[in-house]
Amino acid sequence: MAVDRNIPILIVDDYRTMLRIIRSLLRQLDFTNVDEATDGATALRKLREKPYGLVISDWNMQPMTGLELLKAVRADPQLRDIPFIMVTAESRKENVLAAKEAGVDNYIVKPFNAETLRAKIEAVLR
Amino acid sequence: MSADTAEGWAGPLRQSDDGDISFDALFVAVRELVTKLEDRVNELAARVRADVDGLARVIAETRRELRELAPEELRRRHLAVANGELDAVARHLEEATNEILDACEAMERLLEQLPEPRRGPLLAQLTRVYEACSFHDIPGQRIRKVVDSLEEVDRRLRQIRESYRALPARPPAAEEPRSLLNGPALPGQGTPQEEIDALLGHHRNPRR
Repeated sequence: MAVDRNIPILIVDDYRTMLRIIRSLLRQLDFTNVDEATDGATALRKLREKPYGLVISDWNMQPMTGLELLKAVRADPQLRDIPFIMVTAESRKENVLAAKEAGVDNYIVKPFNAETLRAKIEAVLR
Repeated sequence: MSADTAEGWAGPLRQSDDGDISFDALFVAVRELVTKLEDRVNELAARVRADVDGLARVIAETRRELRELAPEELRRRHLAVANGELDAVARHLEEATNEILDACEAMERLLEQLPEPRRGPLLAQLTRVYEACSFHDIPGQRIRKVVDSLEEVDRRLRQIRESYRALPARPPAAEEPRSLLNGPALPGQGTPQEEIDALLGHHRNPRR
């Protein structure tokens, strides 16, 4: 089944440069309907304002971490079904398990390549 | 029977045949008792004096080491410099990455003008550059961890300073060998290239 390349994606990272890199890689993969947020609270507000088909979030952010954002999304009846991919340098097993327990759909460890990003997105959107 | 026990000390008193205790025997017994007590007290006093001397040496050595450590100087000079340098590294890294991204996006716009068969392989190479740029986040996070560690060291040094406020000041440090004069300047602190160029223009080589 083909993946809808026009699906609205929200990318969340407190490093603007990283947002720019992810947006560029998504563009290379033909995902062009991309919005961004630099912290968890802003992301949550945007998610409540407009329907998104996918969230790609960093973990290490202040004041709301990616994990806290994920938990808030899963706790909100209106947002709970949005696919959520964590993109992070946190590669410890306990981190991955904590994200899994919170309901993450996929987990990408930085640094990553376009192929990994494509594969993970397609896996959660199919 | 041990001479250190009451029985031992009372021994001379039992030497009288008629059962009476003579003055001489009593005197000898008391003198022996006093002598033994003095010996014991002197022995204990020497031991306590040695312990106190040892403790005093340890305290003096700790104070000397803390003075040598110069917590305030470490904080103000070395830690502040290290923090500033690391901040600058992170900032330069981010600036360089954004420069690369600017160039990539410009190239992407140019590539749109090429026909598809030629554009594909070039876009693939561009993707590799974008992927390589994602490295920037990793050293950035490592630097943040180092900065956190330095802040912890700073906090501990402040605690030491508070505990040993009365420490005498360290004598001025000897000139340290330097591999660079000042090293790269932090943003806003160095002389801009334009000013350097202007300075060189005002001081032309007289041999020309």
